[in-house]
Amino acid sequence: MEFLLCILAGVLVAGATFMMLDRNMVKFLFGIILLSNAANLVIFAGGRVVQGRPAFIPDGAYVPPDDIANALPQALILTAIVIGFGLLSYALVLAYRSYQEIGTVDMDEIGMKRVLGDDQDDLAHVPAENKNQESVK
Amino acid sequence: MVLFGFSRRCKHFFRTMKDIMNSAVRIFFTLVATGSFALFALLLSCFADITAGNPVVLAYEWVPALGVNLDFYIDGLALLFALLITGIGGVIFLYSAAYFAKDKQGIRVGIYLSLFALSMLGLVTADNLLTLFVFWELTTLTSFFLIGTKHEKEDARAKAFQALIVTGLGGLAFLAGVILMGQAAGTYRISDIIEMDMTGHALYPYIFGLVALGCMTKSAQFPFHFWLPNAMAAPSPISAYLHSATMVKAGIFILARFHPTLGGTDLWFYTLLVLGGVTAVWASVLALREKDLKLMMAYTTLMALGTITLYLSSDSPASIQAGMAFLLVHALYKATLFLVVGNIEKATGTRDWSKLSSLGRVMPFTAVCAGLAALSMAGIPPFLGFIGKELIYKSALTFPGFSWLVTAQMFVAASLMAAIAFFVILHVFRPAAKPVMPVKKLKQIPPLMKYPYMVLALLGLAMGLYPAFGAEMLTNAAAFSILGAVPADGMTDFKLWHGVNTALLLSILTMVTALFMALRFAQLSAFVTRILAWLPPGCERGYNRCMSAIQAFAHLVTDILQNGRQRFYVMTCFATLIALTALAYIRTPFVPYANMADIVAIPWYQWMIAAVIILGVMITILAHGRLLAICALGVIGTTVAVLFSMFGAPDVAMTQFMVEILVVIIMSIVMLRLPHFTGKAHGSRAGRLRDAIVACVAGVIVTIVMLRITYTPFDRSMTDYYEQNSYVAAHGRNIVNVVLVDFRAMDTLGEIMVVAIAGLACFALVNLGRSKRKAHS
Amino acid sequence: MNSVILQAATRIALGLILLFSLYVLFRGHNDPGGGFIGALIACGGFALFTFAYGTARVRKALIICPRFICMAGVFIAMLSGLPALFFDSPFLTGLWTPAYLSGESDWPISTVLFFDIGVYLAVFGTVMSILLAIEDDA
Repeated sequence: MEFLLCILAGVLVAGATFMMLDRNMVKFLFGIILLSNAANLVIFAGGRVVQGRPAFIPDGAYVPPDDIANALPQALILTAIVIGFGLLSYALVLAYRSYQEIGTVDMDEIGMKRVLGDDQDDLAHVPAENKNQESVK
Repeated sequence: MVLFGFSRRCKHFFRTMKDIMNSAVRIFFTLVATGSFALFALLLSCFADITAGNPVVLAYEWVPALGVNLDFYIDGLALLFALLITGIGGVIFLYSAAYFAKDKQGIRVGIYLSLFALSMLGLVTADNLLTLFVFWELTTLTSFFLIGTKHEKEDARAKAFQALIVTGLGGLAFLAGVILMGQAAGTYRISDIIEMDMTGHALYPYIFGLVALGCMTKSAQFPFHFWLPNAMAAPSPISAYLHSATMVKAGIFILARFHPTLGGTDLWFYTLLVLGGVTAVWASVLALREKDLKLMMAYTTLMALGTITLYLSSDSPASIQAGMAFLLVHALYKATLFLVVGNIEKATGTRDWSKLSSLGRVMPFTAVCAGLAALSMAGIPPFLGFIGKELIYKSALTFPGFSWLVTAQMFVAASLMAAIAFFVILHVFRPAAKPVMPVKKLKQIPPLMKYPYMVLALLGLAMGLYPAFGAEMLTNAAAFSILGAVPADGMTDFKLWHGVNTALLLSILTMVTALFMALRFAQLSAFVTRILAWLPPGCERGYNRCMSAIQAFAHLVTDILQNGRQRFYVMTCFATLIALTALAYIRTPFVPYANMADIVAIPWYQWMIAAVIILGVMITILAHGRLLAICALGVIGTTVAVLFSMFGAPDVAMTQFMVEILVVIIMSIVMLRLPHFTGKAHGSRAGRLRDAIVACVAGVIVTIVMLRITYTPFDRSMTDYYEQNSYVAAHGRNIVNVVLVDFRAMDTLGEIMVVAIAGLACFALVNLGRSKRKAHS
Repeated sequence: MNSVILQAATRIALGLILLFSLYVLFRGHNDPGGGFIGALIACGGFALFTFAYGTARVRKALIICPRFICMAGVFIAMLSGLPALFFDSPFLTGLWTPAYLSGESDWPISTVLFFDIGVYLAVFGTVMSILLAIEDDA
């Protein structure tokens, strides 16, 4: 049963890796989504799966029947999904903002700007602030 | 007349009090000084108990799981150090109250200085190796801040940094040594360890080497001596405290503390003998070169540290006693002299002896203090310094194995030191016909910088006159703790007059030589400077070379690894992951990962679901339009949700489904605002192939690892516990929810915090952009 | 998107969705559901509302700023852990009303319920503030 999940996790990771190596920032974000799906599947398969027997205790019983689904990885995945969503939103906003500031979605171009010191605009305020501090003293 | 005098005293007293109270810095320092004196008194109250051989023990559990306890253990050795720290500390705090009164950084210095005092006190009283190390590091750190007090000066920062690097590196070695020692001993309790003898242990050379390295750097022994004179960048009271009485003696303290455990071997003996001896002689020669009085004091401090180290090398009672006596003597006079230099600098604005003369006329009070301390330093009877020197000569003459060498070394060092002491009196303070500085130019010295430290100078005299009262008991108590027991033939008595013997003759010879050198000091200094110029550059050059090499290496690594290209980072991460995992799998024996029966048993509709997901991934990769890719992603997510629900996870499926909807929504909102990308997605054709290969290998590795994991037997005990207790103990039938809100509620709490922070960060990012754009338009 | 049909449908749908989300939240302890799922369902409803009416109306409908809701959620979740400390149990240990435990009452009032409500509010507030921030920035 886990066999299928393992294959799928592999496929998702391969797809995610390929997209994260893309120069296009948008594709990179797609890669993150695939990777978080893959991670969830990995946790799920790691906890072993059974078909169609959710982790519930039936009414009137004190303990669940034998051989039900493993509840622990499910709880972990549940929170992981929500955190993954938070991460993705942050990455999205960051990508959007960096496009606004730098004007490109080309990862290589962003890197080059950084190396060539094209970000002088951001650094220009640093000495000014220091001066202010000294004058305050 | 008497009444008049009294009222004047009163007036004077009230003026002093007003002086103290009229600034926050003063109040702060005065409070700290009071605390310090209170601790001093507290320690004194245990004096009788401890000297009788009953150490004070205080215990408090700190991190029981790691065996780290806040235990304190005060025996004779710790008592000697603790009294010096609190007593001298109190005096210096009072002095600092005036010294830093008008300094904007006064409070900052005060906080660091009191933190330093506390950590130093912790260091000497700690009864746990790890606690000891923590205090050790705290002293390093606080002294870094203190040396760099004048942080607006580049030079001061560099010197503070040097002290931090040298002592910090030693600290790392010390940590390693301490852990090895704890492991070898099977306990981290110092009071137990010092009962043991570890010299036979297989790890002994390493333990000794590491601990000694820590001590040598901290106590500035050759070849690490260069940082101590550089640390004179600190203001005088700080130097007086850190670099004469306390911090530099931490290394000495550790050597003394572990003397019973690690001492007594040839390794210990020769290492300490050679390093201590070289430091003592070399430092006293270097002291002659200096024109700066404070640097001169720093070098003589080095000489003292070297001497004490040298005397700790042997395990004969006489030399241990001499070492401890000298420690006490030195702390008293050196702290005084540093404060004297502080006063000179405050009054005249210089510390250069060639510009100073006949200060005794204009600063009589400082001159008296300086005279008392310098005479003690020179070893003139009836000062305590004389007794110290007698003990040193006496034990040098009986030093095991190398008595002539040690005696010669001590003679050279003591003569040079006495020469410096005489020179300070004769040249700097002796009232000459015409003072170099006109009196009017001198700045007034506030009373707090005059009176308190006179106590230290007077103590040197009082203890010399009545040696049996304080000095002997204290020294012997410390020596007994090092030796482990009172030696059979007892200790040498502290007396001014032992009759005519070799030690006395040596003393007299020293005085004569020193006096001669002091009168010809300028020529001597010039001569030494000329000789030293011929010698190759010293240890500091080596240190600087090391530092620049490290910096060059860091630049190189940063240029390679931090090149600012995101794709390079991603590639590095994945490639490393692949390489490490592959390596781990190559080294383990092969097992079949899945059997055919299981694969065949998978129903057709599950294959279909898998096919949908794989198709989705393909479309996402190949899609040109972004909306198509987003749709494909949505399909993947939803299908995964279906998988979850199929394998008995309805909660997860619902969550995944809802999140998928929201992801598609916000993705489409943001994506519509990003431009189309027109360049080559992977740089070039070759780049595309390379990325594809890396991606495929990563996928295959993950699959193999997962198959391997799922094939191994599974430990369900934790889930079993949750299942058994979900209803009985937590009253819930949905086990997943019970795990989330009850069993692992702490994790969930952390997770919702992370989510909340992500939300706030998004908001902040968006708002930052908006306000920036507003500012532009 | 000023579609009258969408707006009319959304009003009804939002009410139902919110009701359902609360139902999912409260039944979570014994049946599929809980704070996370409930919050996400409510967010889905408000996302729809945002499309139909725009962010300003959503903010008005929410009354309280979503960032505040999210902080309040974390705070409530933390508070729900405190009572356990008075019973000599570790932080966040679940406690139930004696009436429920003895079977006299069917209302499962407990600290874990409040914890789940805290989770609900935290997730809801976070997702809404992200959604509104992104949508606002157009």
